[in-house]
Amino acid sequence: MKRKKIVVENKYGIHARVAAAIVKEASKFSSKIYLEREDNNLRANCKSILGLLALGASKGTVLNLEVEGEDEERAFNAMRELLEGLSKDA
Amino acid sequence: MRRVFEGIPLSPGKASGKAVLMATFVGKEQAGAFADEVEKFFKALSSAKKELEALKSRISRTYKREVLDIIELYLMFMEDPAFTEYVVEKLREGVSAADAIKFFFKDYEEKILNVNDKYLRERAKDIRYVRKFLLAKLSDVGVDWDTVARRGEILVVTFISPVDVVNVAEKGIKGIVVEKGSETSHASILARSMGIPMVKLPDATEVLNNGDVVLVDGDRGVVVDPQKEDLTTVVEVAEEHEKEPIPVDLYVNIDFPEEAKVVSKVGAKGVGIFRTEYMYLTSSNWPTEEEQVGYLRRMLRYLDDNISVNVRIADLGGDKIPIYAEYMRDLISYRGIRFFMAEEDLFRTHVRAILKAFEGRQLRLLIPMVSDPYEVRWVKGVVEEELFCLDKRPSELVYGAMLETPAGVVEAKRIASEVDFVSVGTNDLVSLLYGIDRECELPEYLEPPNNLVLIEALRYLVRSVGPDKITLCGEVARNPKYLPYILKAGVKKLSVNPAFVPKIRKWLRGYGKGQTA
Repeated sequence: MKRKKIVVENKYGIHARVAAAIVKEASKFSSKIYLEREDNNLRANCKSILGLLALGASKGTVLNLEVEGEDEERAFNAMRELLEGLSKDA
Repeated sequence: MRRVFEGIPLSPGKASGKAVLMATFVGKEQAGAFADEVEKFFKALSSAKKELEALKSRISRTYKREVLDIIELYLMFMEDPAFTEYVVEKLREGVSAADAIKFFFKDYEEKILNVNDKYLRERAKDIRYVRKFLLAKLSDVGVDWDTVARRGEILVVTFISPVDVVNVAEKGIKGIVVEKGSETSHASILARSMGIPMVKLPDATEVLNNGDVVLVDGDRGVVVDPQKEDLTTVVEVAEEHEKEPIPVDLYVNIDFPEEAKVVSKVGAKGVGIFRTEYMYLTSSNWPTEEEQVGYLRRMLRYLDDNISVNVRIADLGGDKIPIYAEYMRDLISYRGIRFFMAEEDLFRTHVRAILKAFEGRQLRLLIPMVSDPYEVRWVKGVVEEELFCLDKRPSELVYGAMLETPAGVVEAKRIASEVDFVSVGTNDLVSLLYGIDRECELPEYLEPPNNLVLIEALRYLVRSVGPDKITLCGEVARNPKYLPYILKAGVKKLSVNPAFVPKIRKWLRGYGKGQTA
């Protein structure tokens, strides 16, 4: 399993469009991919848009990305790149 | 044992039979067999998705990116793997598909409402729409009206939508008892035009049971275990329309093509409003141009060329949203002509169909809910463009505006200068003037003679537009409390539900003789 701490830095947090992008990316892999809030341990399956929205991750939220499965190496890199890339956008 | 329940009459007539209570609308839904529920669920889900996909391709030309994003988000909600997984698990536990959908989305709605960020919380709204949309789809595939109609003849429900009035009537339900609704609600208007007695009984689903033999008396209420004397119907003689003059011209409002038959039967001068929205509401998809032409021609078959017909552009929006357009309830919350102003493609199809259907005869095109002259000019612009491309066209084209908002009343003069005739829709006007829901009755102190605001508005309209140009359409026209005041305000043309023409005629004769004011 691979883990990494990520801070949500974009202005509106994980809002609908961002969540949709995460789901689309995560769904390309067979690995289990989760985001977990560090403050309250709420956990979301990155293939579930509703789960991601229910995280309520606004700007500044600290999340742990967790990837586990056969293609975890590729999935982890792709997800990390996506999530860190988000920070630059609004 | 004979029991009588006084109710509020919504649609006249008598019908009796076995009562059937609709579980779907009353509290928790009864789950069917597992396999049936699974099938129901996936059918609803795929029909919902198909519809959104179709919508997406249709609007991609006319709407901004934001609207497409919303539709894509809705699709993603429906495709969320957690959703189907949860529902199937619940169905296995014996929960109904409807409840499973409700539980799932309500849970997320609540979670998102608890999020500590105002912007992110906004999405709870979208989850609510998807839930409602799916439930609507489910009841579309789920309510088997055939089965309902086999179990009884009198439908007892908490609430019924206009579309379902048509559905149940087609399946042979003879009478309806509702807990909620009013005379002016669209469901009541439809029940009346379909000749189905309907009564409002606030605790109907409590006091009536499945299988009770009941009589729905559309003028009074409900009788359980009716006796012979309850069942004898007084046959209303509609024949007595001799040429004795009455002080107004009577027209009829009709909702379905076949109703046009009654125009000559009741001796009306013509059709005051042909409400085309039911063409949309009873269809399972946006009706095509050909379907619309066929529908309109079916009505015209019953009407000689010299009978005037005011065809009203479909008044969609509000509580008149077709089931396949549920998504619009929020994207476009407009009503009347403004609905089509936001949906120009749909409007052009509608206009072309009307123009074609009226080939060779006069077309009196009535525009619903006009609040500003600009709306009339917009319609004219579109109509004239479409007319230009057609070779089949009406012999004459005149425009009318429906004034039924306070803004329309205030602007009456300017609006009237753009049109040939004006119809005053009092159902909406009353609701908007007094700030009262269409589903509610007006309290007595707001009715004549206690309160005359509506009458003042009519007087103002007659003065601004001219008495010959104006027709009053609405339920107040058949209310003896209002009628003398309406006449005193100078109104000379009334358009009412055909069922009330003989009554009004009778009343007006009396008015001419005795009770002149």
